[in-house]
Amino acid sequence: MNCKAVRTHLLQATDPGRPSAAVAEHLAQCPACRQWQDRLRQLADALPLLPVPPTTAKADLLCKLEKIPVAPRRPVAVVAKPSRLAAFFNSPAFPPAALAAGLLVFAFTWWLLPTPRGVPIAQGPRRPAPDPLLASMMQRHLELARAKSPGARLTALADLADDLQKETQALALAEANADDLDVLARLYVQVVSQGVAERAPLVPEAERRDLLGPIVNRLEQTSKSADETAGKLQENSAAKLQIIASAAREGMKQLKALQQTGERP
Amino acid sequence: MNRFVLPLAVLTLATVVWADSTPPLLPGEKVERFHKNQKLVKALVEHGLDLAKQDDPIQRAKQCGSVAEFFAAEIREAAKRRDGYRAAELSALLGTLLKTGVADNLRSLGPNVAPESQGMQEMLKIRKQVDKLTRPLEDPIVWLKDGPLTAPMEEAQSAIRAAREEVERVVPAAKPVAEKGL
Repeated sequence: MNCKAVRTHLLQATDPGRPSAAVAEHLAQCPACRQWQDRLRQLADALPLLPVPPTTAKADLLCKLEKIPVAPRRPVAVVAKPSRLAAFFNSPAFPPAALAAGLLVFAFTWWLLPTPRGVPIAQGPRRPAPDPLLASMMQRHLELARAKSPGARLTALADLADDLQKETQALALAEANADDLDVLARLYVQVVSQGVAERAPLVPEAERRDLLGPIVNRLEQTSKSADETAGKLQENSAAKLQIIASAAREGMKQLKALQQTGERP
Repeated sequence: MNRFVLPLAVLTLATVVWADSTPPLLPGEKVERFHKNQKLVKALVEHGLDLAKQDDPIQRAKQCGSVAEFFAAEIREAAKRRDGYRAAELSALLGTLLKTGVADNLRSLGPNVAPESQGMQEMLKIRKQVDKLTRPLEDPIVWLKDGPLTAPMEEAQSAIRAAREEVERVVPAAKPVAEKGL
């Protein structure tokens, strides 16, 4: 092994102080190479002690890494989705599709809301409107059930009479037959003669002026309105409304007498 | 933006139509309803006139109890025909009648009615009467005779049950008479 080969080996060695057997044999015979080995070893030992100047290289490197563009596969996938969505929104198929979807949502909501799911409906999907006459009669009945004073009872009876006459006129215009109108007209007569006129004298005198005045006015209005409606109807039906008009006039007469003299005529 | 206008307009219109799903009765329907409800209307008016003459809460409760019998009979008929909506409508009214007309009048007597008094005996009779007319309507057999229970039928049963329970709260059941020793 010559000197050049030995020195090349020493430069490549991890530790120049521990050479291989062939290199060590040459060093033992060659003082120049031993001296060269000593200088190399000193240099290697001193290298870690050298001062390191301040540097921005690391920061610069990280900065460069951040600026490197994203890997090619990923951006392709991200860009592809919105472009397809945008294409759908812009396509001519969108408005009909949106309309169909909206109707589907509405139909589903319609089906879902009126009745619990899975419960069969014997009468069809729509609940019929409640009977307003029955509801108002019940309301007046309950007012009478609650009313403790004669004044409260008189007011409830007058309201009941009003509801009956309004309903009779509405049914007459709806072409109800004369028998139906007769039932309601007779109920009206009962309420005015056995209810309003009989109960009014029991109202304390101090309350009469405030209570009776409005009721007299309502009876007067009823008699006029029933006469007017009767004029538009056939003879049989008109006769039933005239019963109402007549009962209203009679009730009015009795209440007016009570207002003036304090007694029923 | 224009492409949203048509679907939105259709949805809005449909919602408006749907919201008004129980329109008022048509003239023909009014007449038909009157035929159906004539007995009940007469009972309400005639017993209402009697109510106006009564000062005693027990007698007032009795009057309301008498009207309740008319309603119970009509509900039974509706149940037989499986007319759930009619049963529900009448049951709601019956419930209000029992709660306001019967229970509230009896409640107005206060808690001081002596257990052995005539008043308490009358109250217990009313409780028994209410029980007799409502219990059969709560029995599923009445409703399930010819088909499954529908939502309006359940609604009707529930209104009736709630009203009976209200009357029972106001008039607790009579305590059994203690057996006398030999």
